[in-house]
Amino acid sequence: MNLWAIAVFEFQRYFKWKQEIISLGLMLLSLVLMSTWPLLKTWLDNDYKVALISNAASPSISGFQISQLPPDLADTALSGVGEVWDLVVQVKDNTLLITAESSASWQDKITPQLQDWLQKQRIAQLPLTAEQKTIVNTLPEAQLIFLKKDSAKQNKEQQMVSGGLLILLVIGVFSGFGFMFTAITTEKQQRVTEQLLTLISTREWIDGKILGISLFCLKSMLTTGLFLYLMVQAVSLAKGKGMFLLPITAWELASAVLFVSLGLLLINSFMAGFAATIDDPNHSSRSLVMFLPTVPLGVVFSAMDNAEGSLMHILSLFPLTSFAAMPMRMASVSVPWWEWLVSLLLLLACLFWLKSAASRVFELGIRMYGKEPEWSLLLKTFLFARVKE
Amino acid sequence: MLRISAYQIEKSYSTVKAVNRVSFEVQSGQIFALLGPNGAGKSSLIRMLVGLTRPDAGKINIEFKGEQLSTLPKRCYGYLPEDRGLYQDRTVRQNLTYIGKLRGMTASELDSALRLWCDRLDLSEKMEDNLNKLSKGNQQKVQLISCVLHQPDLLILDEPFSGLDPVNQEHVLSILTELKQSGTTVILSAHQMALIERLADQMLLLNKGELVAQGSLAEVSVQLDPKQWYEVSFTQQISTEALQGLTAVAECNRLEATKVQLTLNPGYSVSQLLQQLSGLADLADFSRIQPSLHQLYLTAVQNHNQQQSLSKQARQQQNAEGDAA
Repeated sequence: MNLWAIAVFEFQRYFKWKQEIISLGLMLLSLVLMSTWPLLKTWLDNDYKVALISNAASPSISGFQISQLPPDLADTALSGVGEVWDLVVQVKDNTLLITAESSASWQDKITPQLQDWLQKQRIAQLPLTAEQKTIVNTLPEAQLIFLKKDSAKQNKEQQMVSGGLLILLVIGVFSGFGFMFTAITTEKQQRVTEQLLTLISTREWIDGKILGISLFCLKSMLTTGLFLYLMVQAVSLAKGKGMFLLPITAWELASAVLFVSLGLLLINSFMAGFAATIDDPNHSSRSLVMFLPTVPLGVVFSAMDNAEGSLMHILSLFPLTSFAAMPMRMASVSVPWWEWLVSLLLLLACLFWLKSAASRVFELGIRMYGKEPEWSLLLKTFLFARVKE
Repeated sequence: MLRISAYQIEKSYSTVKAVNRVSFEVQSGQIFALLGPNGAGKSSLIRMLVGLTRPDAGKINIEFKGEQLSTLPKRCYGYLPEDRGLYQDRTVRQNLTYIGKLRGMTASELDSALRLWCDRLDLSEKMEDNLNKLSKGNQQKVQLISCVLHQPDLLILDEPFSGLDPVNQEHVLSILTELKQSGTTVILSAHQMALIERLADQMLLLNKGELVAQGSLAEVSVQLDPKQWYEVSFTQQISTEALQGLTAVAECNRLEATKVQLTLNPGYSVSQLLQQLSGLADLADFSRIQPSLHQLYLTAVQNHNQQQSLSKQARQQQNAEGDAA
């Protein structure tokens, strides 16, 4: 009963309707801007003026206004570079001579397209049949065949899902870090601890706090995730690619939520314990310890490009990294059910142990004012047992 | 029924002895005051009573509703800490509702208790204000409500009058008196001696962690000022020498031409004193001077500090002599 009352109170401390509505408004604004950006860009961009000195039919290239000029006007065109023309293109001895006033990034966009145009002109001049010309102009088709069903689902969308998940995890972990750090150190400084510890036990308090703040972190991840999904969807629709469907199943999504939720509880337990040992957040060496939970994310990030590699295998089973590694692996490859189960059980066991250890550290630190526990005492309490006051 | 007995309690922080072998007993329905200057050990004693810290030595026994306990049951008491401990960024209602829920109150109990206490302490219009928007006095009132919401059997209040103006001090005083009448036991620490004098049934005076005096106001007066002073008015002027010549008079101070203050010599009774005084001149008035608690408190702390420094000097001298030998 108290656990839920504490969790709800902690959640509501950070959940403010006004702030949520402002964030949602800003997200929607970004969404509208993102989805209309291609249209806006086309509308706002001026086409570059290109003079093509050639008798052959000129190509049509988006963003460029190409005017075809006869070879005798080449000198006139070249004298107008920078004023009349942004670019003058000549063809001499099968070589493209592109003249501009100065170097600019947009020139990289037109160069390969002009090369392609010239290549086609040259092929057209060869003594080949129409069928032969088609063969020369078309790239051969390639088909990928996988013997193991669904063994490598790696494609652009799946990498995008893994990357998105990592971004969300970073948001969740850093939210937890911020809230735990400020909430607990402020409560200690304002002596809220004295009042609450006469009403509830330290165990009840830390459990409720971890649950409330983890739920808030999960909420932040879900709202940001939903926004990212809508953004991708809007861009996809604006580009005319149709609806973007997440390349993961409902089961994989549910698994990801489960692992991530347990991961947040794990990380917030650690942070709550150590935040309680900090007396003054501005001058404490303990603050650095609070950054430790970001290490698993860094490790998983470095291994995520090879979802089938041994390292990712180990990370998805190791309980301190599995909450991040397992969902990412599942987004890329099919994970055997027993590995999933082993990973989940190890994560649950680790959560149970870490929460008990963090409770002991919390109990040690929360009533200590004006000084911080020694490192040795802290380590002893964290690893072994409750130390007497 | 509630009884708290503390025996030879000791508590040290690093090298400082905050509480040194202090014993006392609090009976059900009493208002028990802990007095002493800053650093006397009052808050340390209170923190041990509520179980926030444990004594290094000694024992605290609690008898509550016929049961012998070593700690106070959480739901039976309300605690007002010295450093006010509520959430500054939450409203009065959110703070009090949270505390009420943690105390196990139902929504309807909470609602009626909030209405009752907030009306009583003029906070009804400030229910939706964040705590950091309230004055210190109003924050103090919110803190007090958080202690009494659940109608506890025992109230433990560390400096409940600090931050309150005289009108609100009187208000809190009347609330505490009413709570006492309804059977609530109150343990409090304070510096406002005039209020304590009117409020407390029993008191404990501490200085530098040590017990200086304890008991009712009358008992404490006798313990702290054994010399009893009398004020005497004569119908005519009497010389100081003549008064000091009386065997029943120990000390004499002149206040006015015909008015003096004097103390009784040990071994003499008040009637013997009156007899000797009447022999000098006719008496216009004779009364015993009751020193204020404030006066007693200052004298007691001063005397205790002097005693401590004398015994420290004696120890240092002994050590020096020992070293020389």
